[in-house]
Amino acid sequence: MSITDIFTNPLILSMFLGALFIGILISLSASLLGVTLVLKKYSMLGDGLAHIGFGSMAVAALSEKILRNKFDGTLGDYSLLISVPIVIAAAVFILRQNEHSKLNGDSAVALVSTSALALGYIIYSYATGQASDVCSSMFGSASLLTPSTADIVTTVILSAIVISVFVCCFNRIFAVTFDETFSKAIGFNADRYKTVIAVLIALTIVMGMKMLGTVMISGLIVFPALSSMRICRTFKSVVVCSAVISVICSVLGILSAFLINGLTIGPAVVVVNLVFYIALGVFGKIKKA
Amino acid sequence: MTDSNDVYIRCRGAAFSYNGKTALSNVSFELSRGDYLCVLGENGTGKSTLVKGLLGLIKPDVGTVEYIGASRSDIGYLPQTSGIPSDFPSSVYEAVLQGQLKKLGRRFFYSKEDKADAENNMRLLGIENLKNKSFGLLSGGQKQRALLARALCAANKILLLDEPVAGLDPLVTSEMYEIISKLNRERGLSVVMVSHDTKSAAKFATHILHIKNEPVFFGTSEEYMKTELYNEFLGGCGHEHH
Repeated sequence: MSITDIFTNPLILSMFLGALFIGILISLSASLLGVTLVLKKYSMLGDGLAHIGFGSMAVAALSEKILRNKFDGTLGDYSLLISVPIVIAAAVFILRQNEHSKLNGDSAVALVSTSALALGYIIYSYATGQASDVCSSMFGSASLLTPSTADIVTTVILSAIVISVFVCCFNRIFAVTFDETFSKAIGFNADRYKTVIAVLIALTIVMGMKMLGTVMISGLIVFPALSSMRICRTFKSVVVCSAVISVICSVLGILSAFLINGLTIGPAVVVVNLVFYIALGVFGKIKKA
Repeated sequence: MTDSNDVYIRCRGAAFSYNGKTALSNVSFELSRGDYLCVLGENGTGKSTLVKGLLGLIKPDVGTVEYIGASRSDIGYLPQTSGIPSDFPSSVYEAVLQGQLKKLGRRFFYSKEDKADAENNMRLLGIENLKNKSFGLLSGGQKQRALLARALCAANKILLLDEPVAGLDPLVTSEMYEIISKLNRERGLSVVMVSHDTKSAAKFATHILHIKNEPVFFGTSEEYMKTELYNEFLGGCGHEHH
């Protein structure tokens, strides 16, 4: 496919614009939260939660199968109703974990995520009746489709929640990220905002899971933050720069997925992010020298 | 006796445990307006536990910690060797502004007054020129000034300083002591300082609380200098550099 194809064929154009619209909203949400996660040394949280998301999708598939047999009707896509609460619960559990337990955050992520992945795969196989092909749920849809209205509406609502809550709580999120001890010492309810952060991350994961795949979404959270930290020195500039880098990478990634045969969006976006990370690293070194 | 409105904190027979073990017991003292109280003691004798207790992060098992003429939200806190990683992207200004956190109340963003107040405190501590510098790249002394400016933002009545001069070189240490004394005298802030440095404590503080898992002395610094504890220290601690 060439660029002219995208802009002359109305069907492809609508697919492209749909993917771009959703992609930008997801990458904005992910990049904002990524800064806090990376700085709090919770980079793997996104990965772990996405695996839990995979497990929850399997549960949704199973319950759909059971309900289909019973009602023999067409059910709407209600998998979000199952995914959102499960992923939120897991996010809160992991982020609040190290306050009062022997299990540290890192181990908690590894433990919970592998279990969810294993159970999810077993349930998937059972629900679909075969050692199922989970490639598309792990690396994103292999075929590019026009996003459904439901997909667009869900993404708009969830990303609006994530972005607006993040912006409004910016100072509080900084306080929790920069120095939690001090915040608690002056009587600030840091735990409440850790929960807020956990919920926002869970929503972002659920949003991004479908399009990018459960294995790839964590890259979208971590990469932009790490890239921008190579060139920016203040918290606000890191956040803004991370959002800008993330959107640029998503646009380039989605564009290349449309142009190159057989390339799916998830891996494409992650690879573009990797290229940016390396390039900005070199740029940062040169600037310093 | 001082007027009861002038008493900020009153601790009566308080005992605190940490990880299930009693770390500190039988603590009784008063902190009044304008006091400069130095908490002395070796490592592991309950100083940090006392700090947590005063901040309300742990509750006493027995006894009471009462806030009378002040409340917990009147405390500005300077943590012991801050756990902020040096590669954390934050400007000095962003770090200091965190001290205004409680003033947000139900608002989302800092007001002009909140920001101006943070800038004033930076000026007071002579770090206004570092405003846009990266916090992680500051020297030890500059970092402590920035964290003191942050504490000052939060301090309406009391400054609680946990080992503020630990790891600083002698020149910077004496500068920090001068600044703290000045804040005590000129801003009328009561100071609670946890320290190892007996000699400077006796020199600058008005009151001393010496603890060894329970208080072994509480009183004015003049009284303290007449005690065995102080003389023992002067005799035994020839390694102090001054």
